[in-house]
Amino acid sequence: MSQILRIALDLLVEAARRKWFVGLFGSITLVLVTLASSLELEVIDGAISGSKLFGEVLFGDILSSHRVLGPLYLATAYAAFYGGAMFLLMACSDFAPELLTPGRIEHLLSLPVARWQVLFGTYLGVLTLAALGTLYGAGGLTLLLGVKTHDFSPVLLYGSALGWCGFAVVYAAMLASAIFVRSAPLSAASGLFTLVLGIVSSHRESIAAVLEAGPRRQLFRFAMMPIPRLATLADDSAAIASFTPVDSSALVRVVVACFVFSVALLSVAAWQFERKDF
Amino acid sequence: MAARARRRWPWLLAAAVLVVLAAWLMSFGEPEPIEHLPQVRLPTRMSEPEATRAANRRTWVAPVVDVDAGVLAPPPRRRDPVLAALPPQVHRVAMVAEVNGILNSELGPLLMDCVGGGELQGVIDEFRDAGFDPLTALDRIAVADDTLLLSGDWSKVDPTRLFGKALRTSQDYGPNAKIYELQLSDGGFDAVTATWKGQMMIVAQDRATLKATLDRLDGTGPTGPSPIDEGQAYGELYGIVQRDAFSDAFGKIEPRLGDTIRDAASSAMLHLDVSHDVGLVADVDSVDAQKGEELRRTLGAALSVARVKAQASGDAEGAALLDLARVRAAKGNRFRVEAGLPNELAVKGLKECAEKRRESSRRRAERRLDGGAPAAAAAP
Repeated sequence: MSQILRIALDLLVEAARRKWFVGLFGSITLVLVTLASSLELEVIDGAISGSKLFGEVLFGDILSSHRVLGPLYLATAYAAFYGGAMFLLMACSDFAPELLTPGRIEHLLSLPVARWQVLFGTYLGVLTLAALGTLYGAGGLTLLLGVKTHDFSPVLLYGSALGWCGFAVVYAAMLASAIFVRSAPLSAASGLFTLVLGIVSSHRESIAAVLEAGPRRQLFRFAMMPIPRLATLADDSAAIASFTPVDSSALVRVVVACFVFSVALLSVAAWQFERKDF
Repeated sequence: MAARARRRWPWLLAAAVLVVLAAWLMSFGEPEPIEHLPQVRLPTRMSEPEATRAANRRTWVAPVVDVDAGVLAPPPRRRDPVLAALPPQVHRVAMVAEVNGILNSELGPLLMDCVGGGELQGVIDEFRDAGFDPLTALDRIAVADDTLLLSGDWSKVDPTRLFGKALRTSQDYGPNAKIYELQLSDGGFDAVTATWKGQMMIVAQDRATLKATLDRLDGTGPTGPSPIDEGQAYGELYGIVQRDAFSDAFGKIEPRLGDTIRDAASSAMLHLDVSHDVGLVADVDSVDAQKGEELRRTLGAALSVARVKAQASGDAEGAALLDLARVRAAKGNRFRVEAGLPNELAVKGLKECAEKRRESSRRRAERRLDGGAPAAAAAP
């Protein structure tokens, strides 16, 4: 386990050197600072009685803070889920191919580290990086709006955590693809393909219903069976962030399925990694 | 070579097992779409069916008065008789309930169970015996200060059966009305009531008020604009609440809010829709813009505090209703308060209310039986 953590830490150090990640944290900071300085919320006994953004009146109605924050958190959760996944799949697409570059991989394999540990360590490192970004963005916004509305609610953090679970599947596919073909664009494309598959999988029953009954429909159903419902996860993430109740048992199954499917993809990658000669 | 093969195959086996496990975890049906914010229909304007209903009710024309020899005044427009019967000036409240609409709505039966249950059935039976079935013949109930108007089909009612021993005297009044004097218990409560054209039953606390209402309907007394404009006759409950009644209602819950209302408000026009969801809209008029803003903020804060209290006490329906409440930005001296309860929560709340009522009725019946048993045993 310590070897996996060491590889993950190594990856985080490498990420810290990259401008993209400085850009990620910098842009989150910029959004938070801009909101902090430009958003004025007037609060009376837990209700929002008016708001201004850059001095312009957004609304003058008095309504509960949940009703103001709900739509804001909803949009943030969707943006974090899909926008975050897109950003990270581009930003992280060359981590695995670089890991396998001649010279670096030989150096890694000369260390007392098993190949599967290198693989899982890389995966853990990228997920840690994504978790830090999520925590910083969602936590910062929660803190900022909490100070302004006097309503500290952790729902956005919970919703964003689901977004992070979704990215876990996307990056597992990217890493597995890179092990088979050392190409950053292909790795990004496989991540994007997994995200689209996850959206299709979320609507599998509706899509199957419009397909012609027969082997094609059966094949579609069979192929979709293990694919995690990523759009469902995004909807649940947005629902939780906007104070809307969700079916918790179905949610737990989706989350567990995300990690089970991710480990399945990593297992295939480990099988391929073990048989490669460097 | 063999050692390497042994090392690799468990990864493929693990992958296969995990894929099957993921497939099993994903094997539930397509989840229902999540409804993020419950959409509640609020009575903000007259709908098309309500406009048709209002047009159909314009059956009353004030008799034309000959103002000069041979010169007739222009024919007056048709009006809704219930709204025309209301006094032009109300001191506390003028409110109309669309009883028939409520009873025939989705929430109607549940509302009946909650409000009256078995006890209300007794009253309904008494009316039925006298030739008036409230469930089918009663259209609207209007209240204007101390006057009660019940519109519907009163043509078949037998007053002697309806009022029984309470009926003291009866006399014709004008061409369309008959007045009945009632003494409802041993000097406990007196009232005068009248039927008008078989379309309306009017109950008042004194003869002068009753006659003034009948005179307005017959066009023989002073008339004026109704306190409820016909364009405002939408929703299942609508009307105007004057400052004192408005302030008293809130003052009982929150004395400071009551004082602010007394100081700042002039009246509030209410509309309640219970056709599917429960939606409430109140347009509050204030004495001036500054005091109106103060009242608007006080009401907003009071709603927020009430929501927190409802949440803390586990009152889910109350908290949901208040969570959807909104105090709109003011326009001049007027601002709007909106609140809504989605159908699902309204049904749940009404079912619980009906259950509580049945339970309390059962307990009262048991107490009566327990209290009555010794007396019955002691009787010769």
